[in-house]
Amino acid sequence: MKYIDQSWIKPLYLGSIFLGAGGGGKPDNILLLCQKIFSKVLTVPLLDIEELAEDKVYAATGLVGSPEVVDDFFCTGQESLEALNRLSKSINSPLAGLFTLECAGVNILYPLCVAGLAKLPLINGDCIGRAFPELQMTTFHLNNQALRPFVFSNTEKKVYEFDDKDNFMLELNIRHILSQVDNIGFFATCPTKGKELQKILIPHTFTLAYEIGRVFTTYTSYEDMLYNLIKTTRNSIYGACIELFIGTVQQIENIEHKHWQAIYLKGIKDYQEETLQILTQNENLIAYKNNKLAAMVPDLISMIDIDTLKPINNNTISPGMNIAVLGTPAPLVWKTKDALNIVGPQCFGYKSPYKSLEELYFNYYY
Amino acid sequence: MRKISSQDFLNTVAQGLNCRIYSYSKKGFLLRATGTSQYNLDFLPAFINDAKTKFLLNQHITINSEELSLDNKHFLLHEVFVPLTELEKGFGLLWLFIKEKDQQGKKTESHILSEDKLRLLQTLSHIYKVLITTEDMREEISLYRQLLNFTSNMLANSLILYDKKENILFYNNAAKKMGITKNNFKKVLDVNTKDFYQGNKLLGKIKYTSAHKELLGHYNNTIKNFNKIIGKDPQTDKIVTIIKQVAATDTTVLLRGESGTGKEEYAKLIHNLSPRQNEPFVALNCAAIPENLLESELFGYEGGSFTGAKKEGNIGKFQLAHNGTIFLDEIGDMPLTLQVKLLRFLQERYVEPVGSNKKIPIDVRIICATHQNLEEQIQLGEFREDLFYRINVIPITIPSLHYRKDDIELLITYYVKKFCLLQKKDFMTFSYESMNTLKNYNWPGNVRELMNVVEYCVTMTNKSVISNNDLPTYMQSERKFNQINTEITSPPHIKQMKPNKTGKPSPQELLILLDKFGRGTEDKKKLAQHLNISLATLYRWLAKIN
Repeated sequence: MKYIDQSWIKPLYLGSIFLGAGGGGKPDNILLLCQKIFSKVLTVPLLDIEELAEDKVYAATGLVGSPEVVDDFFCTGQESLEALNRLSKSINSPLAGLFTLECAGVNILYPLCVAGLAKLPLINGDCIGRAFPELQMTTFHLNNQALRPFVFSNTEKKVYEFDDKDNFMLELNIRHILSQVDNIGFFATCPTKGKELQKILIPHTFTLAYEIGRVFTTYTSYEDMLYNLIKTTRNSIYGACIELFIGTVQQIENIEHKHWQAIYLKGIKDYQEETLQILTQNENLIAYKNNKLAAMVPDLISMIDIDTLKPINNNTISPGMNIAVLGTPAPLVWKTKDALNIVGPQCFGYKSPYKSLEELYFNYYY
Repeated sequence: MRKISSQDFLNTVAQGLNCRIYSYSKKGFLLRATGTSQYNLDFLPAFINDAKTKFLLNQHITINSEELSLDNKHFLLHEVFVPLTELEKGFGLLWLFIKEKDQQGKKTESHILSEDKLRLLQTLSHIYKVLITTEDMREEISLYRQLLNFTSNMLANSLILYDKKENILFYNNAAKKMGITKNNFKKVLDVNTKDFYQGNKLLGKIKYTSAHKELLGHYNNTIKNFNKIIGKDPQTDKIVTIIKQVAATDTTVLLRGESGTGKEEYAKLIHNLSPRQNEPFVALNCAAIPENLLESELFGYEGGSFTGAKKEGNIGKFQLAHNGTIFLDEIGDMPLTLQVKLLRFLQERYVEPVGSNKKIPIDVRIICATHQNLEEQIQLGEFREDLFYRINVIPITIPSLHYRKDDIELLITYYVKKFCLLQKKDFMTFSYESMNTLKNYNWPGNVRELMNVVEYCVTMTNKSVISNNDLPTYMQSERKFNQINTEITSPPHIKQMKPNKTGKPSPQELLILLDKFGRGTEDKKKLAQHLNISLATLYRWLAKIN
């Protein structure tokens, strides 16, 4: 068993932005909370999936809501404790540990804060392996499991409980309530026995976020950073990331009818005279280099500010910034035909079928 | 048949008709002439080039004798200009029939040119036109071919040009680097085709892959090379560090490790990171070639030096690898006689082909590999100690997969994606249970066996998730056996698996025992001893299982 201590927080913060693939919320405020909590709580145990007790019950916790609100809200971590207590009572079982649904963005550090406050271990795995905008885009849904009961508390610690069998209905119902309560909720859900959870979770994503973050805190040249990011991702179940582009942000445009945004980049360094266009919908969905497909969801399209050598999400981007765009293969579980029906490009309104990074850049990978 | 050039043609015709022929460009400049430069007409006589002059094929052209610098002994019998196009005046052939005057200085032949002869000159002129047009086209084709060569080699896309019968006409450097040939292009993904037509007639086609831009020059070339080395294991990291250091040098490397650990991949990595990366990488498995052929394979032979030898002789692997890297796999299986020759090569750096006394200097980097215990072989007198010290400069031991449990899932994920792409199947995953089976398996055949298992599963499965039931039968047997007897992994229980008085172990039990003891000959000998049977009996039992 590993233990998360204070030294993990900054790397986890940076890794969470990289795995957010442009979205997942901006965890700056939660970073402060985490540092505060870890000044009192020395460590949080981190359980590998193989270490889960088969008969004990574990639950997911995290934040749900509008990214703008999430970014600006100062959480205390206590919010989810209310939800966890209600969930525990509801299922009439104590909780042996917590996990995050989405190992990216705000949902890495916030569940860590909650685990620290609840004095519960955290599981080294999650249900997405990146950031996705909807609740059915999880391995629970892929494994035909409903996210029930789903309990969340609002900013005033008022608790709501849902028991929908249909994850799409659950998403709708939660969004409906969220719109009435500040657009932010702190949830506890998916109470599951260890034996079942082992089959559902994507393993080792928490440590991967940490290892990716460590690269950003260790290296001071872009080349060294890229080499080590590739090495870290190559030795993970994701696969090696690949540099797609380096360029200057020219324009950020809203495509209203599709609920998309388009980020336009003009190439610099080795990409002079080239262009990259990224379509986003909270997260980055598709990248076109010189009008040709360069990467698409569920593969991760992440961005790095090459002046600061730190990962950035879409909320931080502005014209004139010089950024490197990297593609990282999504965990294999999201690349199967069944999974692409849940998280493939067509689920975001894009018509063309999925082409993986491994297929687009076969010579790079094999 | 030899190609006839337009100049050859003019010379031959001039000789046959006993005349001089001058070929002019459209602006009236002399392109070529037959015979000596005795009669210089560098420019077409002005009046012929006069735009007002209408050229007729049978028109006689009068050229002054002074203009031709004719002496008193010669006279101009016929002068005919045959235009080669009506559009560009001046472009044509000037035919001059110059004759000697008789002893009295008189002109002996008539100036009148027969219709037949005029027609002949017209026909010959037009054959000449066809020839020069073909030559121009050839030059143009050569120019375009060089342009194609130059520009396509600038591309990161692999590109192959086929004729209409699918014969390869051309491939660029990117295709060459990928080792793409007609036969294996189908294995490469993302291949696009573009057909070329003239009217409705298919002329040929190109096949090309999408490009991966070389990201940051050499730096990313390094990254690309490392992308095939998967492993979190600290030993793998250590190996990579050593390889990075030794790649830049010419030091001999000895790769050690069990069969299937990917020693050749590491040898290629060293080569690809070395300054010799653009030179040949030649691999030779010393155990795979009969002893009597190994020497000629390594050093080459002169024609007719032994029965069955090619008449023209053959160059050896060392010569093939000149300036590059030679990888001698299974060096421990090299016969002693050849070890002496290899040692001599390592000392003197030249080869002497079989049947020859020529000494050919070779510049090559040597990487050796073996799964044998060379120190033990030295004790047994099967491997030369002096050769061992020559090749054991930088020893690198590749760990067995058995000791890299954490890497098994990474390798499986890497290869399952690869095989799904190669077989053009939707991506698949392994279920938690089947992944656990694979993680707990012993992998006696190392990464090679793992690749085979993954390829088997991808080929045989048509579902998104590969379950335990989709694994190769021998793995399922082991899993079931382990379920029944969870303590089987401990040696005392292996002892319980001896055949009882009434029979032999079941096939499943035998396979498990094989995994425990290993699959090498020595391992099988130990297993036979363990089972109180002869090695031959063991082989017979195994043959039945197969």
